[in-house]
Amino acid sequence: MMINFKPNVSRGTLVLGGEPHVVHCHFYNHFFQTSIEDAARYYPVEEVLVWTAQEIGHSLFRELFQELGASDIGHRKAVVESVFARCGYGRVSLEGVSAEGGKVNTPYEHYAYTYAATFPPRAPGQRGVSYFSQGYLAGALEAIYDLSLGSMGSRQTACLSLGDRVVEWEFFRLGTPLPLFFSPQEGRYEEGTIHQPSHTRVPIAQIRDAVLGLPLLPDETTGLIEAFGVVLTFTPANYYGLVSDRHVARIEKAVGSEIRPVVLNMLIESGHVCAFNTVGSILQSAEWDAVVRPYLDSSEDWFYGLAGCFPAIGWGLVEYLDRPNSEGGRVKFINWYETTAIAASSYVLDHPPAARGLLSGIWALIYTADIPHQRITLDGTTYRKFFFHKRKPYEAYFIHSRLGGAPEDLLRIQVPPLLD
Amino acid sequence: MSWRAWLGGLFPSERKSETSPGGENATSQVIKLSEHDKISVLPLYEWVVSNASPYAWDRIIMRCVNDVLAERIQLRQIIAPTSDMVIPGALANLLVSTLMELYGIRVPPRVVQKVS
Repeated sequence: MMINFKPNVSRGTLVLGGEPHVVHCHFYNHFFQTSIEDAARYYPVEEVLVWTAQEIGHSLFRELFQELGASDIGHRKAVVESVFARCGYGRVSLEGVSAEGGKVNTPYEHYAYTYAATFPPRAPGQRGVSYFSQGYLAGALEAIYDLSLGSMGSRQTACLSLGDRVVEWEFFRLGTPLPLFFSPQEGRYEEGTIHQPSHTRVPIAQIRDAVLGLPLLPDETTGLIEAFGVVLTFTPANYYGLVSDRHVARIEKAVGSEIRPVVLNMLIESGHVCAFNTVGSILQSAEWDAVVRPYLDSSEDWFYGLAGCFPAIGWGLVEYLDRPNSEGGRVKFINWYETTAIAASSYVLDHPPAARGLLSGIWALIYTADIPHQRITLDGTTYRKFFFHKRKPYEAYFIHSRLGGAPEDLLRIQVPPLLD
Repeated sequence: MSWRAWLGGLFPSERKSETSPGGENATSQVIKLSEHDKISVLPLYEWVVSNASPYAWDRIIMRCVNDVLAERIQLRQIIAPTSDMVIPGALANLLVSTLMELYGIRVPPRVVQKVS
């Protein structure tokens, strides 16, 4: 079954089942999830990681079934299985589940597979790492059987990360539904156009179109998308934004607002991890060399090349208000996905944190690591060398954000003062 | 593969060498401090962010929030410690053991500086 995302170029989104999707890699996915898991002693993190995915899976498939005219159960299950693989989450079969629930297992699931390929098993007593897929499939089952949101309970009963041979989830009907909300779908979206500066010959819109045409497809067997030396997913953008905001709200409620800087640091660091690994891999890929590099005359031009990539991977549009240079610059976001999701609900954050880490990380890649002029090894040693050693090479803060009541998201990147 | 090496730094790992990423042999001594000891926290902080992960300190503090607050230490102080900040030995033990739990790394004894 062919599953295609619908690019919306004026929003910089990739839409499927009414949900904007963003491309991220397993580095970011794991770091982001681990940041949340670290708070498990303060509140039940499943209520954020699993429930948010359930809300989105439910909304996505209700919408998609309607779009596709999928009314019978077999057709709906086939749609879910195909979308699950198309997005790079892995391979599942829903053959054995009914409206009352059942078990689903697979040897291939993004989080579990990349974890198990890397580490020894998690300690006994810990749960598996496949929170997202658990909630996503619970929401999908509700949509398949026209059940109300929150009526399907779930638990993960086996995981590659625990040394099991498969990932397994158990789904079951609940007497009292979970307190879930429908996904905001395209949320408080913004629209705009590619900003093409006159002083560069980098064809930003052309690059966007070329990246949109890249075949970032899952492996036939595994349903995992390996590209640029990383393992990618197309994840609903609302997941990251809503999880971030809900995590901050829950932990502040449990511990107090004093904890916020620690939580923000971790979410910002997730953005660094994303910049270093996802963007770093893209900037050193054969595809970048073929499609973008011929137009790059200076380090500054690398930012314009990335401005073409952003909307093609669902990250919205960016406009550099100053010519990017080694001292920093200002970046305006149009339809940044975190903001768009968070602003559509009741929220506690006053700016989107991952954007800060992402952009300061990109600056560090281009000017500190000097990636335009040398290839770098994307490992922990390099990360420490270029991203943090006595001083952070760049820091970013929002001059103002839509989440703080401003009409736009405007970020400043700068060289920070030396630490003691 | 490099991504495996990278991700390996984010989680506890029994496979990790007991030699720190900075090349220092930190294996042999397990640091144990008494509750009466006072420890200068800045050297510990600097070693952790340089040798474990840039944000390892935040992860450690996240795990130990209640213990930090129980010592009447404000989180904003311990997140970015100054050179004159000291913490009780028991809390230092906890921070060091949390580092071990999260990253499989032991702190060299020279980093844990008692103050008189």
